[in-house]
Amino acid sequence: MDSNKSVRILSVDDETSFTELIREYFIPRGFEVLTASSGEEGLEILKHGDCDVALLDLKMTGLNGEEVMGEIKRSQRDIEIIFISAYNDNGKTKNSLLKGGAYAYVEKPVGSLKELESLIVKAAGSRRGKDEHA
Amino acid sequence: MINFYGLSNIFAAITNTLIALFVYTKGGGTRLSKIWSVFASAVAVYALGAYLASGAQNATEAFFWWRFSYVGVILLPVLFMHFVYAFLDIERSRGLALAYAVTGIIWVANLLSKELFIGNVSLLFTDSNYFTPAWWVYPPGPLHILYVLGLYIGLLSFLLFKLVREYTRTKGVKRKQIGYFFIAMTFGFIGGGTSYLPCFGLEIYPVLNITVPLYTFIIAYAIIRHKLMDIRIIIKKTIVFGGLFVVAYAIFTILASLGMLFYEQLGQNRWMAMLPSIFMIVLVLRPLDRVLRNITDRYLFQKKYDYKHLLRTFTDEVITVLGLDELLRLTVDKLMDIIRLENISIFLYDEVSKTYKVMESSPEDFRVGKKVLDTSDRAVAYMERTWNCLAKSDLESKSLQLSQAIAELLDHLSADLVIPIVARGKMAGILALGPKKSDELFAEDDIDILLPLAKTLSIAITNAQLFEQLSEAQAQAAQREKMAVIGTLSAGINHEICNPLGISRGQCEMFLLNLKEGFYDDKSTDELLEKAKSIMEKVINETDRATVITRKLSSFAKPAKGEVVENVNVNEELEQVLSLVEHDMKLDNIHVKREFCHDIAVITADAKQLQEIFFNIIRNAAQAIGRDGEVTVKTSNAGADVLVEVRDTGPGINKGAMDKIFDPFFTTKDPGKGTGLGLFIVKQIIEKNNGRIDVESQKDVGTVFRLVFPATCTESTGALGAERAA
Repeated sequence: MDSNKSVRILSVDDETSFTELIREYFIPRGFEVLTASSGEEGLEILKHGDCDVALLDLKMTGLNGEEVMGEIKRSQRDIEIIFISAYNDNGKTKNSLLKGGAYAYVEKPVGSLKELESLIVKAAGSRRGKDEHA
Repeated sequence: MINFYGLSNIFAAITNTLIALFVYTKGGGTRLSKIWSVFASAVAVYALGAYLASGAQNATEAFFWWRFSYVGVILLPVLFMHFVYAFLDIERSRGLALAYAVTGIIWVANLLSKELFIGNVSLLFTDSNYFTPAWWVYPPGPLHILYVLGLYIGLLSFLLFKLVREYTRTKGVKRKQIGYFFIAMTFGFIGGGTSYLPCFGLEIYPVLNITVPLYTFIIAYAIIRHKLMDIRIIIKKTIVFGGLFVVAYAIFTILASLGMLFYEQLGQNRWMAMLPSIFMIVLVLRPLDRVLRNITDRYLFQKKYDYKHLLRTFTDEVITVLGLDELLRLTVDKLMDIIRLENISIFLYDEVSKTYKVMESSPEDFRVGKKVLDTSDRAVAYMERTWNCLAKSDLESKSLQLSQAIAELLDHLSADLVIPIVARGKMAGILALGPKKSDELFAEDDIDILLPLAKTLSIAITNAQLFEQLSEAQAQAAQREKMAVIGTLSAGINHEICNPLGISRGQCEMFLLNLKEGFYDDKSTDELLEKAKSIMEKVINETDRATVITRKLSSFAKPAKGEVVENVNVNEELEQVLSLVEHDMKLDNIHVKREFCHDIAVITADAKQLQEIFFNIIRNAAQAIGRDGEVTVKTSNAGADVLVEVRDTGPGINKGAMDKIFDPFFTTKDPGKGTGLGLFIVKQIIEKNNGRIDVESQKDVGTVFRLVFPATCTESTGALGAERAA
C-alpha cells in the first residue's frame, strides 16, 4: 500500500456521481483524489496543485477532454492522461487521442475498478520511470 | 257471350293457375311462395267463376257461378293478410287467426245458404254492347256485407296501415319493397273491388278488373326471381308484362270479336273464334317481348346501363385511386352497381405461385367457386394466348374441347363473361362478371364497352401495384434513415446509459472489494447496513435513469406499424424529441431555447411521425451549428393553424442548395453522415399529416424551418379555449 501513497489522481467528469465513486474507492486505498466537474475547473486545480494521473471525460460542456489534454501538454506538465468516456466512434477518436499523447482510453462503463486501479498504478509508475530516466 | 269483363277474367284464370303452379314449384318452398301460390289459386277460382257467370244464360246458372267465384274471392283478404304478415316477419297472431275464423264462417255460409251471402240474381246493364254487356247482379246478403266491410275494406285498410307504418319505419331496400308492394296491392284490390260495385247498386261497369292478374303476376315474379329484392327489375318486368298483356288482350278481343261475327253466321261454336287470335298471339309474343324490353331499357333504364356513366365513373373515380385494394374494391362495386350484376370477381396474377388468385369479389356473401386459377387450365391458357374474352353467349364459335373448358371455367366463377386484364404485354388478371340481374346475356355491344374498360383498368392496376412497391421502398428508406439517425444519437445514448451502468457497477464492486480487502473490518453491522443501503439507493437511481432513455429510444426506433391518427399536442412531442437530443447538443455547447405557446391547439396527426419530423429538423439544426450556438423551438397558434418554428444560429443554407434541400438523396453532409433522405421524408410525412413546410435562411445568421399544421376543429378544444379565456 505504501507504493500508492504518493499517487495523486485528478478526476474530471461532469457526472459528479462518477467522480464521487472514484473518490470513495481510491481514497481508502491510499490514493490522493482531486475532483472537478468541468474541464475549466480541472485546469484551475492544476494551476495550484499537481497530480500524477488525470482521468478525463471526453465529452463535456465547455472545454472537452481533448482540449484539457491539449492545455496540459502545452504546459509541459508531466501528467499521465487516461480518458474515461462513453464516446465510441469505432476507435477513431481513441487512436487520435493516444497518438496525441494520452496514456490510455477506457470506455465507459468501466469494466472493473480493480483494473482501473492497476492501470492508474501502472501509469503513475511509468511516469516515475520517465522521471528516473530524466 | 264473350265480352270485356269475361275476357279479363279468362286471362286472370289462366295466368293465375299457371302462377300458382309455378310459384309453388319454383318458389323454393318459402313461406311467402306457398301463401302466394294459394292466393293465386284463389284468384284463379274467382276469375273462372266470374268468367262463367258473365256468360251465364239464366239466373240459376249465374247464381251457381257467382257462388263458385266467391269460393275464391272470400279467401283473398285473409290470404293477403297472411302474406303481408309473412312479408313483414310478423309471427302468427291472434288477429290472423280471427280473420281466418271469420273467413271460414262466411265461406261455409256462401256454400250452404242462399240468402246469407248472395240473394236473387238479376240482370243489370241490359242495354248491352261489347264493353258494357248485360251483367248478372245479386243483392248482397248480411254476410256479404260483413265480408265487404269487415274483410275487404276493414282488413285491407288495416293491412295498408301496417304497410305504411312499416314503410315509415324502415330504410333502404325493404322500404322500397314495401312502397311498390303497397302500390301493387292498391291497384289489385281496387281494380278487383270495382267488380262488386254493381251489386251494391252502383251502376259502374267493372273495367278495372284487368289489374287483378297483373298484380298477382308482379308479386309472383318478385317472389321467384328476386325474392322480393330488386324493385327496379320488378318494375321493368311489370311494364314488359303489362305491355304484352295489353297487346295480346287487344289482339285477342279484336280477332275474337271479328271471328265471332264470322262464326256466328256459320253457326259454329264461339270457342272456335278464339283460335286465330291465339295463333296471332303466339306469333307476336316473342318479338313483342324484345321490343318492349328494348323500350324499357332505353327510356327507363337508359339502354341497359348508362355507358357514359360507366366510363365517366371509371375515368373520374376509379382509375385515379392509387391503393390497389381500394382500386379493386371500387371497381367491383361500380361495375356491380352500374351494369347490375349478380356477382363479380377480380383475379390477379401472383408472381410467386404463378397462378391467378381472387383478390376481390362482390356481393359480400358471394363465394367464387375457384379461388385460384391455374395457368394450365385450358380456358385460362387460351385467354393468356389470345387476350380474348370468354362469353357464355359465344360458346358455339369455339372448338368443342375449348368450349367445354370455357363453360367449366364460367361455371366455376359463376360468370357469364370473363375479360382478361392485359398489362405490359401479358395477362395480369381476370375480370369475371356474373349474370346480369336482367337475365340478359352479355351481347356484342357490352363487350365493345367492357374491353376498353378492362384496358384502362389494367393500367390503373399496374400503377397501383407500382405505387405499392414504391411506397414499400419508401417505407424501407424511411426506416434506414431512422436507423442512421439512431447511429448519430449514440453519444447521448451512451452517456445516458453507460454512465449509470458504470456507476452502478462501480458502487457494487467497491462494496465487495472493500469487504474482501478488509476495509470494513472495523465497521459495525449497523454501519455496514447503512453503507449497503446508500449504495443500493444510488444503484436504483442510476438504473432508473438508464431505463428512461432506453424506453424513449425503443419507442422512437420502432418501425411505424400503420398510421395512428389522433389528436396531438405538438409541445409534448417536441419535448419528447428534445429529451433525446438535448444532451448531445449540450455537449456541443448548443443551447436549446423553448418558446412554447401554452394553449397550443391540438392537431390531428400520427404522433410517431411527428416525432420523426421534429427529430430530423432539430438534429439538422444542431448539425448545421456544429458547436456553440442556439436552437430555438417555438410553437404558436396561427389562426386555424398550428405553427412550429425551429431556428438555428448556423451558417445558413446557400442559394444553390436551398432549391434542392427537399430532394431525395441530396445532402451537404460528409459521406456517411447523412443519407440525404431526412428532409425528403420529412416533407412527405408533413404532407401526409396535412401540413406544409417552408424554410428561410440567411447567410451567417441562421436558418428557420416553419412547419404549419391545420389545428383540429373539435368542440372540446373550443370549450377548453373558452374556459381558458374565461
